[in-house]
Amino acid sequence: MDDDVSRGRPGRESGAATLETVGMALVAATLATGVVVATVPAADAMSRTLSTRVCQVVTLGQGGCTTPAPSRSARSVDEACVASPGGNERVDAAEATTFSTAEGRRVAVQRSTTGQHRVRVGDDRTDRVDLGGGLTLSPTTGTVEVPGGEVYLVDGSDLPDLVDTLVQDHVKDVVAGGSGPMRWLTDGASRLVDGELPEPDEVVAEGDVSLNASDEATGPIPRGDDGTQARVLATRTAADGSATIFLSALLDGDALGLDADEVPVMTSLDLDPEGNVVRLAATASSGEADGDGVTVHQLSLPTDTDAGRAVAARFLSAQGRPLPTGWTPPDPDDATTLAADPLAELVLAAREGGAVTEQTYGRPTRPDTVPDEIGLDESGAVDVVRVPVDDARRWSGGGWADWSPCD
Amino acid sequence: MQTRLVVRLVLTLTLGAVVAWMAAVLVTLPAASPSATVVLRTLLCLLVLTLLTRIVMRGAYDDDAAGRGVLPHLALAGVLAYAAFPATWVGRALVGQLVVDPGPATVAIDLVLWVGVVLVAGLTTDLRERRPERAPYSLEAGE
Repeated sequence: MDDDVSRGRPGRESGAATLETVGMALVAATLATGVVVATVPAADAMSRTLSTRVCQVVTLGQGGCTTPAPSRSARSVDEACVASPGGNERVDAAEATTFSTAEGRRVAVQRSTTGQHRVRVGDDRTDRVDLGGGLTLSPTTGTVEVPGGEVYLVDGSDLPDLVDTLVQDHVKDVVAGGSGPMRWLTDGASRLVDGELPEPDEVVAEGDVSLNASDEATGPIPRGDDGTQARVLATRTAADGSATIFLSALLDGDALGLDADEVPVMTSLDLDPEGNVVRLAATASSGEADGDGVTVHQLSLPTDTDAGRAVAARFLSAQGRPLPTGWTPPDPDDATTLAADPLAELVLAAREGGAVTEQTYGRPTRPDTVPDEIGLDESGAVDVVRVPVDDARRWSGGGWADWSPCD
Repeated sequence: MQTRLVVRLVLTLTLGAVVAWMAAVLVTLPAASPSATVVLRTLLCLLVLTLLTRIVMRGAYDDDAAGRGVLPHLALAGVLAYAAFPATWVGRALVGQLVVDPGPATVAIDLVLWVGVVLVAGLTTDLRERRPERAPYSLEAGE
């Protein structure tokens, strides 16, 4: 028996135990750090700094490692600058901060006049600013559209946490997959410190929600007397059960005061949680972004009265749309009502019993500074687009009046 | 090599890899950098695979001459442990997804890396030699 064997260690293995002990100590230290990061709330700030340092080391400084910033408090609500509960608000400027997540989705953050932040997660890569009520404006093309995706509404103090959770959720999608045991384990561990991604406040399903889809898939889309559903542009379902249905049509622009025979008009039907259509709104845009700016014309009419429903029914029927359940179709023999321009009639009704507004958005700018309340590191690929509102007016007491901004 | 040793290797490597994988994800998640997570999890998993393979193999007896019989058993244990590792099922075990999107290609890339590390770690470990124990007594031929 040689000396090595007599010590219980073969010759080639000399010193191996020391290396293995050091290696296991490294693994144990990493595991302990991971457990501390995941389970001790007080270690949150420390863990972010540590994680950033580890990230910078293992990616050789190329990993886009983020260090979230502290949050800022939200502002109080000012109802005078809000034209309708659907979200038509007078803003001083619309500023959207957009970035991509690890999974390739786009997150757009925009502060509303109430101080609340609207965080929209979708696949649309066009820069847009939210107009409220699910509508967006592309400041470069001047078009009003309804992009699909999930929307979260949070106060300023909760915004960094939501953005963190969103970003980390998408990182988990990438590194652990969307499901499976490892995703379950990762969710369980990270939930202890960062919380769970909340259910979105609104979900917008974009495009081609059609006749043949089931009720479950389409939501409360109005049915015609023959049982058919309208083909709609998009639907928005809120967490409280309310919903919005978006329809699009080319209508005569004269009624909106536009010098155009046909303008694309976005019609929105707001439904309460019981499925009753409580409001009809119409939105159109005119002008050019690189000219005098884009003017967004918006009107809304409550439909909780017989008169409001009659006007809305004529407006929808004129477009060949099926009416919501329980609504009375316009009388085909009534030449007076059918001869009138339904959009003009809607504008008049909205002036009397609803809200009619115009906001002109100026040239978009791209500030270099990312709002620190979002809690994003500026070193990442973050785009900020700011569109000032040059002019705004609201129909009030028989004529147009200046519409003061909230902030 | 005994079947029991293969089973022990599979269980040890699978559990060790799960722990290392989780530790790497938890440490790097707040930084929100998938590439950092993938790199660290790969480093930690390979370190754990190396260490655990050597520790388990050191307790094994070399029943075959010149280690020729160890290779297939080590490879079998490596493949089985890789297959039992849940992250493999979604193609996100090691570093493969930095090269291609998760799928069969990443499963193959990570498999090569995983089994390669297990083989190198196992084959460079000196196994215990089985020696006949000296009997505490001797049989003397009868007079």
